[in-house]
Amino acid sequence: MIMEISETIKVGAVFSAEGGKGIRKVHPKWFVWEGRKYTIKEVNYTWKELQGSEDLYCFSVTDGANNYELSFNSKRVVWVLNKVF
Amino acid sequence: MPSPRTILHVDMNSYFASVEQAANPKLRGKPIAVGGGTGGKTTIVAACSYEAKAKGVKTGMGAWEAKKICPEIIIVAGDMSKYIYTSSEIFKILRNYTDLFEAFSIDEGFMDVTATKERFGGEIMLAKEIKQRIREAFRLTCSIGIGPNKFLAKLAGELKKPDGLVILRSEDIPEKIKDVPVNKLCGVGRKLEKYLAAMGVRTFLELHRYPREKLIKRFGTVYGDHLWHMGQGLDNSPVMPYPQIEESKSMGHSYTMPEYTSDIKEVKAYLLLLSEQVGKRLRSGNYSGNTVHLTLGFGNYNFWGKQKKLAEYLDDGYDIFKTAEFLFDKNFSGNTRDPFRFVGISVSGLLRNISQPGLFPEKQAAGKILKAVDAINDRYGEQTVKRAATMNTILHEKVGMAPKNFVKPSV
Repeated sequence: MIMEISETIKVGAVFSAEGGKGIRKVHPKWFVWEGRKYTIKEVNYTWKELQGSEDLYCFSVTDGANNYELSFNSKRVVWVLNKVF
Repeated sequence: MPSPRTILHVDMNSYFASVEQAANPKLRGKPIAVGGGTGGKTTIVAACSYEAKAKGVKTGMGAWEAKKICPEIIIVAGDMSKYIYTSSEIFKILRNYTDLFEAFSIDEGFMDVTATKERFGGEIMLAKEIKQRIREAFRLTCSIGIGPNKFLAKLAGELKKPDGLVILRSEDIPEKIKDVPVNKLCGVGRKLEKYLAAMGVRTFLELHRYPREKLIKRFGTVYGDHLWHMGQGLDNSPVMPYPQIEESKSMGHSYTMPEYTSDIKEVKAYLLLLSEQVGKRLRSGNYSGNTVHLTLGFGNYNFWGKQKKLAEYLDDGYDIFKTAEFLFDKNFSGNTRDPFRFVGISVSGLLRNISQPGLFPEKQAAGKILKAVDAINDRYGEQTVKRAATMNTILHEKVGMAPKNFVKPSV
């Protein structure tokens, strides 16, 4: 069952340059949705999309119970919870 | 005599379905199908997982048919953005091993590693490293075929799926593949398979032994000779990296509607929307074309197509639409036969970088407007500005396997 959410949320994430090659990575660690904090246990999948000229970094993550699709708009510096599944 | 080449064919296994299973742990190990929707009347299985294939589900089936064969199947709406991104990242990995990489489709490609393989410990070590990197980065498996040419490399990859690694050498021909059915050979479709069967050619060995002159007599000099070369396991075609790939011959878009419709106005709105998409793609590649093709699909799974060649070259979606509308009206005015379920528009006869300044001020103004609309849509996303006539279409994001930025929902 997929629930479309599309709500701006607060996310705690680590931004890092890995492997000494300057490859930038984003690791979401937790997010707050409707007043509840969810700890991300695993990032299942990551991909990038274009929304016009803006990059969206997308993450399929799990808190151990459910899966969530988050996206980060690097230009607007906004996180969105797209779906729960 | 040219020195032997080492070609790899890398083919992602059940690609769309595997990406969905990687992205959603709840789908792993389950029979799933990826389609344009989530199982409506018109949803077609675009790809399915190995678990679904084991139950008899096949690509191209209707979702209803898949559900009949495998009631527990989960139908997932395809997300082209995810597949395109993953594919581009995988191709980046492959380009780490050679500059001679040719993307054959979204989920497969050829690599000529003749000059570079020794740096990675030989072709087998190199192939194993590629498989490991793809698995670690994306939880995806691929089959890799290794051969002295593209034809045998692709065939080798077909021999073991999923997660295979098979080598075919020239000396293995024909013995190692003698029983392979001809329909496994790249380029042999259902029609050709039928013709060959009528000639008593059903396996690779039978094609290998078939006289060259008889193939030429039956299929003509070019294709008959091509088939004979296939039967000998020969193929001189080079691996063509992106910049050397031939110019596009046609550009098109198609869409399977979420519901059958007999409403001509609605069908035309989709035609306009798709025509605009084709026009945008033509302009972004500096192409214009002089032949418009219209394809329609009906509820009874029949297809109909017509084309019109024009004196002028088009790159404006509205002009493309008017030609498609002409073809439509000529054949369907007042007669909707079966309800429509599929619409497709393509433009061929492409030329690049031709400048056709309009003689009339209206045409010049239209060109300026198109340029401005393209700039806005490039910046803010496709269909941010669109023609009012398309506002009632429900070509939503992620429906019809369209990339997420393909079109925004109407508001």
